[in-house]
Formats: sequence, C-alpha cells, structure tokens
Amino acid sequence: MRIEINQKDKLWLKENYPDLKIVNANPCLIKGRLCFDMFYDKNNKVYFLNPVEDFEPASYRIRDEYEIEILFKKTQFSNLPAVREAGRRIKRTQQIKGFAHSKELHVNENGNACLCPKQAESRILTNGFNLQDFLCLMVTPFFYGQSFYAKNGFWAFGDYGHCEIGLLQYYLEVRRELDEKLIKDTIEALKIYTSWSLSCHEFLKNGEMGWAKPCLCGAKKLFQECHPIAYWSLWLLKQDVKKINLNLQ
Amino acid sequence: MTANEYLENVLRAQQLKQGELDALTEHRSEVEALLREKFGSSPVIKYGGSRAKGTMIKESYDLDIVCYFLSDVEKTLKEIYEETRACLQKKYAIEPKASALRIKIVNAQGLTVDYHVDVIPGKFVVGSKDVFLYLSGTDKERIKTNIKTHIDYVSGSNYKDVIKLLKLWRTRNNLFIKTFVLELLVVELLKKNDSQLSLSGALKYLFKNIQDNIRSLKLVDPANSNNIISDILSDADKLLISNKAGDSVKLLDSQEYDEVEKWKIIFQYPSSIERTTEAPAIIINRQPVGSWCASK
Repeated sequence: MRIEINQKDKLWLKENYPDLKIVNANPCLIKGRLCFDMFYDKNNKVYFLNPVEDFEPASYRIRDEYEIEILFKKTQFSNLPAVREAGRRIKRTQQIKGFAHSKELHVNENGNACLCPKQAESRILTNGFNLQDFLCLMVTPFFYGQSFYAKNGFWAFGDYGHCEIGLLQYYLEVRRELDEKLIKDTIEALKIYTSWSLSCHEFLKNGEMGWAKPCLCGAKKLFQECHPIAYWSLWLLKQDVKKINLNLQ
Repeated sequence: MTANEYLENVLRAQQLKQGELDALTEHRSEVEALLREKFGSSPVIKYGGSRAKGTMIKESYDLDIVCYFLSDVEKTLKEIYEETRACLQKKYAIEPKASALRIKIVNAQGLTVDYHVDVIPGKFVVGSKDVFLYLSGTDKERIKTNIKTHIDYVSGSNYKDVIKLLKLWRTRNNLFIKTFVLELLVVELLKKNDSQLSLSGALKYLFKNIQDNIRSLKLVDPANSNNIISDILSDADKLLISNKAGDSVKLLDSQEYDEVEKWKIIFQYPSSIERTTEAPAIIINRQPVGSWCASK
C-alpha cells in the first residue's frame, strides 16, 4: 500500500481537522490536536462522527482531543503511517489503571499506536491509503477507544490480544470464505515473530505443533488451554493454507 | 432566559429517566439476591454513593451498593472482600477497585460492558456504625469510614445541585477527580461563604476558589479525620483542574458574550472541540476495528 498525501487530502485536512498541520513534507509529518466528536452505536455496530443529534446511551458519545503526530513511515508492524500521542493522556490512563506497560493500552514500546491487527489494514482501507479514510476509519476510532476506556474501563468495540494471538483472533473473526489475500497477509504478519520459526511454520506445514508446546503469548501454559481461540484459528489457517496450496517455504 | 434558568435546564436534562432508574433498581435487586443467597440475611445491603446522596447525573453515573457484615462475623476483611468477589463472579465479570468491586457483564457479542454497579464490601466496627473497608493493592490493609456520615454530609448540605453541575463540568472536561473528592470540595468551599448564592454565583465562586486554592486545600474525610481525601489527587491533576477552573473564571469575567452564552460554553465540551462540529456529520456503516498491540 502506498502511503502518501495529495492535494485533495491537504484540503480535506484543513477543512475537517484544522488543528492538525503538515509540518514536514518528506517524509510527511502531521502534528497537532486531533479533536473529535464520535458516537458508537453498539447495537447497530455503526458509528457517527460529528453527530448532529443526541444519541443514547450518552456515555457512548465522546468529544475529546489529543495531541498527536502522524509520520508517513512504515514499520515492520504496520504498512500505514505511524501514529503516536504527543501529549500524556494515554500515559495518564496507564498510571491510573496501574498498568506496567503502555501496550496494555495498545501502544507499542516505541510509542506508536497499534490501530488494528496488521492484516486488517488493507481490509479497512479497501480503496488504498487516503488521509480521510485513515483518520476517520482508524485514527479517530483508536483515540475514541482510549477515551472510552479511560472513562469506563473497557473497550467499546472490543480489542485484540497482543502479537500473534491478536493476529489469529482477527483471522478467526473475519474468516468467512476462503480468502487468499487474508491468508497470505495473516501469514506475513505472523512471520515477524519468533514463534513463527519455533512453532507456527512447522504446524502450518506439517500439522505438528507438539502437545507440550507453550502458548504463543509466552505463558508457560499449553497453547490450546491458554488461548484456545487463537489455537483454533491457527488450526483453521492450516486447513485454509492447504486448500489454496500455499507454499510456506 | 437568565443564567440560572439555563443552569436549571442543564440540571433537568441530567435527570435519569424512569426507565434508567428502573434498570438500576433491577440491577440492585439482582445483585442483592445473589449476595443474600450466599451470605443470608445478616449483611446490611443498601445504596451508597450518588444515588443515596441525590447527586446522580445522567452523563456519568454508577450505582454504589454497600454490603456490610456485622462486627461479630468471624471473617477477616480480606476474606469478606474475596468471598464477595467470588460470589459476584458466579454471574458477572468483576473488576476489582481499591475497596469496591465493579460489576461488568459480557454481552451477546462477547464484549465486556459496564453494568454501572459497584459493590463495596465492609465490616462494622465493634459497637459503632463505622465500617472498615478492605483496601486491595495498597500499603494500608483497611480504612475506617462511615457511609451514613458521608450521605448526611453531602445530602444535608443544600449544595446538591451545585455538586451535580460541577460533576458535569468535570465529565465534559475529562478531568480526573473522584466524585467524593469533588463533593467534599464543593461543601468545604461553599460552607466558608456566608452569603446566599444562586446556582451561577455558587459555581463562579467555586471556579475562582478551585483555581486559587486547590493545590493547597486539605480535604478531610468527615467520617475519619485520619483520612486525607485531597491526597488522592496528584499534583498534576490539581494543576489541570486549577487551569480548567481558571479558563471558566476568565470566560465568566469576559465581556465578549452574554451571561447565558458564557454558561453554554462552560457546559459544552472543550472549546477547541466545538470546531469539529462544523465538519460534516459522517455515518460510518461498520463496526470500528478493535486495537491490537504488536509488542509482547
């Protein structure tokens, strides 16, 4: 996915997020205040940005602002621009909730926001990258989620486990029919982790995980007992890899 | 419309609807039934918090239910806390707080959602109406308090409407200040003022005093003088609250808007956010994707 900003994006940004400014052209860096007003309709699974009417329950409508930076540079964990909070709001939530690490709030150790599982990126931005979709479909919901969690102590629209566990949870959640791109993207995302060479690769190739293998999350428990959903997802992925004759070498 | 009429309208809009109140009553009955089934008729189970004090607002509310065991019960505070937790866990997901147990439920989509109910287990002090609450995850193991003193202190203060408005101001400005701290702050500051203040007058007086004094103010639990409530607030929180109160004072002193307009701005969301409402409304016909984390 190409990540770049065009004239149309610039105009849209100025009109819709006037407090976010492009401060560097190459690589593009956007800095400033992300102000949003969002309501998540949990019953109908839709959301509204800048809603014009009041909705119930009122607690699902959040108006908030964050100091953020968006750097147009891909990382090994994401093919999208890196988003980080420049203020200390998320750090504050981390302190209040007593979390040792910001990753419990979906912020990587390098400070970048984990907007979604890696293989979800191209499924969300179905038309490729453009700034409007990126801000409306990914960045704003991420910060809405942060504000909602800080207030309510749970994620309004759920969240995914760390690393491979989250990638596998997502695979299971969206897998409907055989989707070659999703299978390949999931495998590519899994390959980043050491568990790929230790467990997943072998399992997907030969169906051998070994009964005594510890869970991918790092806990000293059996994988299938510790994270049964991820285990079931990996098992399904193996069937799907076989069906599309994907060479895993 | 006058400023006070506007503020009264804001208060009216913050009243919970009958359906919401009924749902809370139903939640209480359900929780009480579960506790009674396990512990029998001996614990005292009743409303605490803003429901009992009459300071609940629609935009931010939780129902506090206290479950106090009699002093002769042969259980330690920790056992009471853990047994209450285990009992509630049979039916709900529980998030343990310092002394309360927050109830959550898992909905049909598998998401954990808030039930707006906190259960506070405790044990009566021998020969007294005071109670000890267990403090999990802190240096102290217990704290002595008295819910009736708290309720009387707040509900008998005549400042309930001002408390509700200040709670709303806190919520809309995303300030971290626990409700009980805020209630004490209002009562402590207003009782120093002898004159009869209108709603707008009381709020303006509070904003000014919060701006000037919150960093040095010492708030003591009316039920236990060893419990310094103001210590709950960090210096960073105090600074933030003082700055926000200062913004409100500045606005109220300005000549730029008429009186009602000023209060509208104060009780709307932070002014910078207002600009986004000029942006077009967008309906996104999909569930937002949950966050992930790439770090182990």
